[in-house]
Amino acid sequence: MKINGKALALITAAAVSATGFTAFAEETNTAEIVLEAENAPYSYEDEDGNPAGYEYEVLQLIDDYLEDWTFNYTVLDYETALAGTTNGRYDLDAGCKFRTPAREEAFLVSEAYNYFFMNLVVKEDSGIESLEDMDGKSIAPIVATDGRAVALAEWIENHPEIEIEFENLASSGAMADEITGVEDGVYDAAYLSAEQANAILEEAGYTDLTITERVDGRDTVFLINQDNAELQEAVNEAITALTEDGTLGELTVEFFGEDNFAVAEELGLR
Amino acid sequence: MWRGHELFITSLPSLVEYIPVTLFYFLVPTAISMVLGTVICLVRVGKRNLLYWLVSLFVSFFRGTPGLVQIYLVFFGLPEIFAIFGMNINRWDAGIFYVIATCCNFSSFVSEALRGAYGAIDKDQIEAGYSIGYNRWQCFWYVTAPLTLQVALPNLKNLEIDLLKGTAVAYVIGVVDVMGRADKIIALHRGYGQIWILLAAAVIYFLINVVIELVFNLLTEYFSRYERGLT
Repeated sequence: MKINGKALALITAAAVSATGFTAFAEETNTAEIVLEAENAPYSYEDEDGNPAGYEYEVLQLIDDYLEDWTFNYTVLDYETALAGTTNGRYDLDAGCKFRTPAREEAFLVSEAYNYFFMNLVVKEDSGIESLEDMDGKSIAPIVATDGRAVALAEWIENHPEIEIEFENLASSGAMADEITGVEDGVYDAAYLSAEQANAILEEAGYTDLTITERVDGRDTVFLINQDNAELQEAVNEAITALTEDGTLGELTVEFFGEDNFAVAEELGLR
Repeated sequence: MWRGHELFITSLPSLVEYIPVTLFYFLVPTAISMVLGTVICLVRVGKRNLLYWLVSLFVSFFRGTPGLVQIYLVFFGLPEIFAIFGMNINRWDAGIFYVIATCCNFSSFVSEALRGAYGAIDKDQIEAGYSIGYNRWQCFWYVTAPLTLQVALPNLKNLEIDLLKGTAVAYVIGVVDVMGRADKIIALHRGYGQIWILLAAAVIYFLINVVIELVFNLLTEYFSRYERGLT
């Protein structure tokens, strides 16, 4: 069989590139990231179908920081994202998750990359300013697996003297429905962040509702598949570096109008 | 009640854009399942050998478990099976997993519709086919298949309508069709006006179903053309 010079060059180039590719593949770890679709401005899909939100920006910064990791992104609904990360199809679930005992048991949990502050949305004339004012009153239901539900349940448990009527939903509902429940007088308050509440109030045009000062707060973490301790270590290293150099603080200013890390420090959450 | 009603109109054009995607996830499983369902039916009306029992188990499983569970099983389970052979299929498009799950489910139902219809046809007609010199293939093509289809069509029409409506759950694994797009729009509005966005999607599904009904009515008329005037 005759092999001319051109063919030999091509074969050599192919072999070199194949070897190069293999070497690259061996050195670079790939992580499948799943972002929750229904969580704007934290994680969602924009009008063009691309991943968007604060969580996505943080993950891109982490990806840039970690030279030996490459992140692939998928945007999915809440339940599928959780199931997929438990099952191992995805390595990391990003969706503004609170650290809860159940999650720490089911997943590897990252360091905090943001802080989430809860406010109450109430009728202007209700006189409610804090959770302490909610004795004998009701809060719109939240799905049991939502960190807000866990945080609220914890607060209620720690304040037995205040009886708040609050039920969990079996599957995720819409945040706008929680606020509409208050507007319609079905519930006395909705429990969510000021950013989310403001966006809904602006769109719905409810003028008789108001957002209270912060009533509680939690750090938010990424949930990582239990078999991927290597990713957890890498992500934690990046989060620590990006927090210390102020990058994440600046990003929270860009998204939420204030440095959430500084606020968390003031509130004793850090 | 009327809150967010403007989203019905504003979301409609965006949803209409995704009709071809929904039709793709309706037509591809239809085409594959018609072939697979026919093969399964042929096995199920034949000898009771090992293949018969394996196919019966397949049909029983996919008819007896919820479609959504099957989608999740394929979406999460298939990569695990491929991983045993060292293959990573996690980056496959979500639509491929949906089509696989739906074909397994739908071909099971199609096979049963065809099997029931085959049982109902007059076997003397098949004998008549052989008596005029048709071979097995010709008898199947010119006698058995048209007669079976004629009986099965009303049932198949119902199944096809269910199949189209079933595409609405594909979004849970990330398939963006009409319902997937509706879900994204709802998420962008944090659930505000979701009833109106869903209503816009419902109107689109309804109109597609009207077309499906018309097509099946025409097919039924076509396959019954020699019976007109007999009654």
